[in-house]
Amino acid sequence: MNFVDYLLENAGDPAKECILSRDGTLTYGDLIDRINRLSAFLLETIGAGNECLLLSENNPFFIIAYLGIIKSGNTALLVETRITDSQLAVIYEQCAIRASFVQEKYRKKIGPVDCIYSEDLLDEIPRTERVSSTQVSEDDVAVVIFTSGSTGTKKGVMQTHKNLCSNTQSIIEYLGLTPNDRICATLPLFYCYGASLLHTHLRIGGSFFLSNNIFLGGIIRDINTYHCTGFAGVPSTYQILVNKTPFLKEQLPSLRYLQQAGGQLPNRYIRMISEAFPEKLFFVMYGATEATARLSYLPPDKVLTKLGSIGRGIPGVVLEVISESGSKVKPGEIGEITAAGDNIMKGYYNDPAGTAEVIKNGKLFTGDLATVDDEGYIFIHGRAKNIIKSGGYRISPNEIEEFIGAIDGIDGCVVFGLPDDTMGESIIAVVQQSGSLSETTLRESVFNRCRQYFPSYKVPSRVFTLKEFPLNASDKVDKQALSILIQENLRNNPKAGQ
Amino acid sequence: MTSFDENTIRNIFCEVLGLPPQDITDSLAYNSCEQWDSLKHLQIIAMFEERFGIEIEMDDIIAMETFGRVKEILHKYLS
Repeated sequence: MNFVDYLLENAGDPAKECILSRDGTLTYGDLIDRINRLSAFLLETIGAGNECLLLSENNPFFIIAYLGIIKSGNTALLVETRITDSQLAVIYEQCAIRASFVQEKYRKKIGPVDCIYSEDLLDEIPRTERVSSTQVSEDDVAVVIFTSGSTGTKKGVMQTHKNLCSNTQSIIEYLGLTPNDRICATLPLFYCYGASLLHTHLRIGGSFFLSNNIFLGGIIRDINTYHCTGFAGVPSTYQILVNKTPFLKEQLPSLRYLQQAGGQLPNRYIRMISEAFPEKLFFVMYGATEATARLSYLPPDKVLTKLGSIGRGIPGVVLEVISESGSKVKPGEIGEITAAGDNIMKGYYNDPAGTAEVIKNGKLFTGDLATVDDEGYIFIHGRAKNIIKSGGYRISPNEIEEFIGAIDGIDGCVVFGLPDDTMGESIIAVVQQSGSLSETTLRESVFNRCRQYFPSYKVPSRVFTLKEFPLNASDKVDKQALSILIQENLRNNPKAGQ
Repeated sequence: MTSFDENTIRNIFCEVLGLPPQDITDSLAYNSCEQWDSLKHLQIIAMFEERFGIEIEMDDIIAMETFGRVKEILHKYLS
């Protein structure tokens, strides 16, 4: 079944509010009409089975284009709005993109290519009687999400119609969603977690509030004004709300539940949130783009007794922690989290070798290291894959290390993340100095070059200089020792490295 | 607390958004400026608070949607 048909199967009353924002409301009838028109337009202009790029912030344009592309039997390629021009150029080179849906604001990021459409297209397409839904095979790719891989180049995660239907159903089940639910959505829709919010609320016949605020604190007003029943965030979302807004003192009477995924929220925040809202359900969850979105959840009544756990597999997913020998770990033993189920991606776009590294015998190897307690609850201890999660972004240290290491006067560079109250993790760069530049000049030069080259979320927040790096037994830089050294330094001088 | 200084405010915008001073006009808006996103906004606010020695209230942080409004609001804190 086409994923979009599956999503809209339960849309009952066409007059029911579906997508809300401060700029207006789309009812289910409006949304279905818009999707049908776009789908028919695409079938007439490019046909089915092609790739369409989508680059937009969260707005009705994104939602209509996304669903219209998939309904027409084409594949939606999702990229983040902060993608650099060079990364975007690589995607255009590697993929056979037949049409590009680009929010007007980002249009100048796209070079001279055919078939670029912006918001105004949606008003120009005539109404259609034909309900154009393309029959697809369940293993056809509906969406490719380009996400940061550990090498710094973008990896395209291919999600099939079956993957998306299966994960949507599981999430609805464990969250207990009903047609009365309305999510306050701030997470980007080009990110699998954000997209899962849209999918689940359409399928259940609920509603979706697009909360686009200049500052996250605006969600407090939005939840109250638009009577939202759910809120979703990544660690930095909750850390900003707790540290920079009166969130924990609010009543939020319409809110039934909160959900958190996208990295490990430090336990003290989990405790603060569940204690501030004892009447509301707080779901701590875990997932991966390679698993469509969701893999596990901790039942809300276990949030404090199993503090820090990611819970157990969601319905339809077999989640196991496997030792190096391939057997399930004993309680307390560390192993790698693996997952099997209909939500596991088809593979990485145009990268069979990369796919074979993470999917073995039908199981996804997540790269997350964990233990299991005697009741089967999973606790994450670190990542085998070396990724920094900052401000909701997955950042590869390798790319930053390579760039800084190539600056004159620098011999080597090591980049890692340290826990940060606002960003989840902050990026720390330690450089090995070769020339005679002063520490301050060198640090300024690293900051300036990084600001020119990287989007802001990849710029290190602190830069330290060292004459020699600590090495481990195999003569590789000992990142753990380095991280301890820097943390000691920061305890003595909290402003160091800035 | 430091006194109101438009140049300091403009320089903070230039530094965080990576734009030349002539682009920072009163009508520069969060909605249409590609560089000005919510993470950068947080950075800008943190720099105002540090440079001017003030603490900006949440409703004001939300209302700072154009450079012109930013100046008006900071005036309130710095006069």
